[in-house]
Amino acid sequence: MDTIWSIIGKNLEGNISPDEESALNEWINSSTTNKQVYFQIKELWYHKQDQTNNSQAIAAYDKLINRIKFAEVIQSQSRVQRISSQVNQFVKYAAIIFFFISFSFLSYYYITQESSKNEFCTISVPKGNKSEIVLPDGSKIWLNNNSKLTYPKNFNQSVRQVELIGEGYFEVQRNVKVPFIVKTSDISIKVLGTKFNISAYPNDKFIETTLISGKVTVQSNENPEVISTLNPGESMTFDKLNNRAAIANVDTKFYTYWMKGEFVFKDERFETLAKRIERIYNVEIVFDDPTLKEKTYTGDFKVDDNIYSILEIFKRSTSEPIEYITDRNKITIRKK
Amino acid sequence: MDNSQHIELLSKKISQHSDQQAFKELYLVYFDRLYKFAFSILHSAEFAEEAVNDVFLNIWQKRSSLKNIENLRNYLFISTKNTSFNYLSKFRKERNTTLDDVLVRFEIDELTPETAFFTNEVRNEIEQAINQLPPKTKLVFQMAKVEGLKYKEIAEILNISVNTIDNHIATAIKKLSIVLKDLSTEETNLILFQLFTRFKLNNSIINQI
Repeated sequence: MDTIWSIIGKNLEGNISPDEESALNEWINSSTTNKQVYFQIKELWYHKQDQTNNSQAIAAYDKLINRIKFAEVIQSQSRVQRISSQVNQFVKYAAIIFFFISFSFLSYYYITQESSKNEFCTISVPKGNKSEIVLPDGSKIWLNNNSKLTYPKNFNQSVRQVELIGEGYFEVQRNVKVPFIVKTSDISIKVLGTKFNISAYPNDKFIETTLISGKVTVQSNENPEVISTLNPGESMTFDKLNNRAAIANVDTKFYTYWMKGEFVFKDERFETLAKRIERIYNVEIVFDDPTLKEKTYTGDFKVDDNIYSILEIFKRSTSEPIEYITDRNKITIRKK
Repeated sequence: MDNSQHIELLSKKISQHSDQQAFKELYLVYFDRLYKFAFSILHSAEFAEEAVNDVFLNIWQKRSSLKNIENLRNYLFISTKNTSFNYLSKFRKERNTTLDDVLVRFEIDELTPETAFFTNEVRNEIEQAINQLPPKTKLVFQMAKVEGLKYKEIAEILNISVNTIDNHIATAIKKLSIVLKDLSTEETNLILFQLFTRFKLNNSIINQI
């Protein structure tokens, strides 16, 4: 009699022999209770369990893809770096070619249109790139990613003035007669001939001016009053909200290494770092928990490093467990 | 979508061309069942998902040797089982986990009014009865019913004989029939009568389900 349960099981599995089938039919037809029980079991068996919804599977798949990417980075760090730097290399070459094309175009424009004054040239560097520019007076400027430099076509004649949105490192050709002025949203930096770095991104609270060598004076845009004079090794942080400036002695390499494709920081707040990472990798970083923004880090990265390996280092070096969730270009950082 | 020729094609695309789209498709075909299988062992949505992802991470990393796997579906289930057992061992801080250590919980999904052949009371009774069975029996029953696996496949995945599977299923069905007999009321008799006549009419179709 016990075998009937086994036969029902095989029937449900769909693997029943003719002999077993007739035994089953006999059993089913021998009593109403049997009939009832059989059909209830069958109903229960075929009662479809809900499918987990597809969005769960897709979300899980996205997590898997992140793990795969990360595993590839870890597995052969150097190899992957080479591959990713090949990609970066491509972007670099594309940027250089683009730069030469636009530069020759601009020079052509410059030569042919020299007569027309008050016209401006603008050089924009998209997110995730950087660019090197030589101005007509021989001054060199390295523009960091997501930055824009505008200068007049009659540059060099009576005034050397450029406008900067974003970050740039300047090596200004010395010319005592014609001062070089960098205008940012709130302040202007006036120099004769020096090396310095300015970070003036519209979304940042501060404008930072760091002097490597020479001398600069900083003026407010609103009124021509001199805010301050900087000496080499000094960095001025200008608070755009309350128009206040603070000067500190700094290690200038933390401000200029981006030119070499390095990303160096010391006791920097996570929020500020996130802003920089956003610009380098063209991503958006969101903090799920505001207290995470206040954590500070010291370290350095190569800009060529894969963003996942960088995020992973943050994950490991934070005292409490954090995790990051990526959704296309958006990265959410939260406590685990 | 779980048709062996199609799966073979996907497997070929993954191993020979590192085809990510095929990999995603394979993942989406099996995620649901592997996840439920892992969940019945681990009882944690997070770890079940992690276990399934461990399995697929491994598939991707070893994709070039995918062609050596004879039955990819069984391989996926076996890997999910092993991975889930490894997680359990970690939780229990013991080196090995065997089938006897696994606490399987059997659940029938919430019934929607259209499909409510059983009332939720009956559903609870059935769940309770099944959950009184030994873990191995529950797991085998779940794999046959929920994951829709054949005895042979379950045997291969759990590394036990087909006969044992047969015994487990028979035990579960016997238990079910006892509960159902006790629960039979006028109401279910009536529904059953209607259903039975319908079944009779469509008998050939029903047998093909």
